[in-house]
Amino acid sequence: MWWKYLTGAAMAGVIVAAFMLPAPQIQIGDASRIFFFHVPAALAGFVAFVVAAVYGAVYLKTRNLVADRRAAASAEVGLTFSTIALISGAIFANVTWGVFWNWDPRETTLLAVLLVYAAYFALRQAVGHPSTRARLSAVYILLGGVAAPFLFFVLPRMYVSLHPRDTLVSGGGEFAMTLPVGLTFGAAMVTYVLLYLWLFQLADRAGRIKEELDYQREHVL
Amino acid sequence: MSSNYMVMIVTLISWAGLFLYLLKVERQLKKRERQ
Amino acid sequence: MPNGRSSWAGRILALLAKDLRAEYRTRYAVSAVFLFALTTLAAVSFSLGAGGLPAHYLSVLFWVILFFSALSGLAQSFVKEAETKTAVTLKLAASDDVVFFGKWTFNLALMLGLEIVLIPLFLIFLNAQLARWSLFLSVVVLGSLGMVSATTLIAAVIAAAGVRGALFSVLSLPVLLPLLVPLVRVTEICFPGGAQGSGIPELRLLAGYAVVVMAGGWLLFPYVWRE
Repeated sequence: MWWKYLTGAAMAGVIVAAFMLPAPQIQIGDASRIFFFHVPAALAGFVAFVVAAVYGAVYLKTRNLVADRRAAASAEVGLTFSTIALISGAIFANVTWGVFWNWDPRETTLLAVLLVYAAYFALRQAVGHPSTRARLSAVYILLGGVAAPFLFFVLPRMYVSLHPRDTLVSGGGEFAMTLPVGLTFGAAMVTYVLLYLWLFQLADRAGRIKEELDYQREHVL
Repeated sequence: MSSNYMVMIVTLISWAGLFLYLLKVERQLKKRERQ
Repeated sequence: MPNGRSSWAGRILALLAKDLRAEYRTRYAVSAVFLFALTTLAAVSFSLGAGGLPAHYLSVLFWVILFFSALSGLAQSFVKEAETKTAVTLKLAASDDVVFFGKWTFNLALMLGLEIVLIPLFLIFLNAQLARWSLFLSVVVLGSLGMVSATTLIAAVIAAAGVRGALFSVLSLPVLLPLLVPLVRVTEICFPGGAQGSGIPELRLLAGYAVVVMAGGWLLFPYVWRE
């Protein structure tokens, strides 16, 4: 419980630092501040994906529906973070390079993850029977988990990539990873993951209450 | 009042709003769980 | 059907033969796939074909036609078993691996068959030439392997879910997207006037995807096929 208040305070601190410190990337200027918000959101989206896939695997092994409920909860939160990451990335891309989208490997991976989440929920909605739904959605998110991140491990040099870190590799802009910037960035990553855990816990608890209400509706009334 | 400063204020206020909302959700869940 | 002595490969071929025979009788999947491909190709050709298109247009059009044609027919292999209620018999008669690779091979045959017909027609109707044949054929084969590996498992999922075809495309696109992007990029290299490059890194990527997704599909299949 205490860590939730910590998350609240830490996020406030990150926001202040992100705007008050000198802009991390000199050429782009203030727009580069989005770095503190976009990257951790993407990280949270990926973490949520891994957690959902792990719970899916747990379900397949144990056939315990609690695991399935947790997989869906994590996917729900992950979808939100991935959407935020995608939109913030597109805004940044437009401000910096004039195009919203470029299909570089990182962008495509994020989009693929987002689409897997969306398809995951479409599948869940189409299957009524709880154990079948749990089984098939677990299989799907595991397949998605294998396929979607594939491009992420592609060397950026393979494609002309506009993604900032990749530009750095080919000698583009100067990304000033000074100590304050690095600390703020690290803090932002941790804080976003904590926020994910909080939202995941809320979604899971809400899911359990809903299950109990459904059960009561069917068996008591 | 640079635009940078104003964006920061807006972001802080948004976060404060979200944070308080999450605390509200926590209270509601705790209430339901006790039933 | 299989006796104690028939080999694994033999059983897969037997399943493939059964599916090909069944398909020959109804020609359902084949008709859907070819009709879609030819219609789309015709539409593209009469509106765009006269002038000769730039390499990147040719590349994307080729894969769009191929992808959507394939998607209209690749779910067939499992959905048919569910519809004709032969799934139960199949579960008794063959092991999970045999079923997965049998269906996989059928889907691959369907895709390769489509490509054999589509590629010459595509070049003719769009007045296109290929600058790099061996790269193109390698790309097409590897791309097909990747597509078939992913969609065989997904076809099993939607057959088990008891839903119709629309969900198949919804589930397939996110999984196929990381394949589609490099595929279109490297195919562009094969047409004259396209981007430059050896294409070797992309081939490795496509091969990697095909291997990984096939392994994943094979390992996950029993969880779909069995309760």
